[in-house]
Amino acid sequence: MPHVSQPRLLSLSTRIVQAFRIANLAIAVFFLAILCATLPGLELVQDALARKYGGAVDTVTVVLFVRVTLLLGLPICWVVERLLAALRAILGTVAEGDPFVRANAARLRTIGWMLLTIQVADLAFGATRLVAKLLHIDYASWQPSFTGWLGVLIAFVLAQVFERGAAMREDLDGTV
Amino acid sequence: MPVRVHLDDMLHARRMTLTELSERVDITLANLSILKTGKAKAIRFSTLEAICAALACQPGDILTFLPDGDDA
Repeated sequence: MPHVSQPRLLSLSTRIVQAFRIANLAIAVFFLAILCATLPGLELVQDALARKYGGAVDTVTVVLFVRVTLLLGLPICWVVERLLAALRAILGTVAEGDPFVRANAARLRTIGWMLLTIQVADLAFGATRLVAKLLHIDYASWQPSFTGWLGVLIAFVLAQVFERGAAMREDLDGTV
Repeated sequence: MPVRVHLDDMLHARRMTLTELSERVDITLANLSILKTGKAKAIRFSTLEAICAALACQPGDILTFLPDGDDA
């Protein structure tokens, strides 16, 4: 494995997190734009859908599905932003040289809750996909994410580890 | 706190300053000050050993236990 120095790794991680935040914001803007476009341009969208499905599917239902998907996606963008902001703050404490603090335990717990929310939304997305399939609507593919649930567990375990570590650290403060 | 630190008395008895002790035991002046003023939460055996060696005394000469309410 190639050796990467700690400051470079930290700088790289921070840049990746920032890039993800920008990408997440762009996705949110995109979702919002599409959602807005289905309101005034409803007839245009329905015409396009009628051409695509050739009258086999009710276009109003398809538009409803698009809106439900976008409405599911928008809060998730906010959840992802909270997760990434917490991760960015943790990286900040690493850069300052003092990451073993209770605030980071709380941030890891926040990350855990955000990951859990994403997983629940993913299940809702899967259910939407199932209904779409029953109505013969073309929809994005979906698979249950085992690694996502594992990530939730790891985040909560790490939060407990950090909390214990911070308590031990506080115990050592004032030791001469 | 029931455990009292008598570092000041020992330094006075040995005619030594806190700065001199700091140099001898290789512990920062700030940390020794925390110990001297009774603000330390804990003391390492290695610190106690170094201070006792530098001041030629016993741990009991530096630390004493006084139960709560006993001002003697």
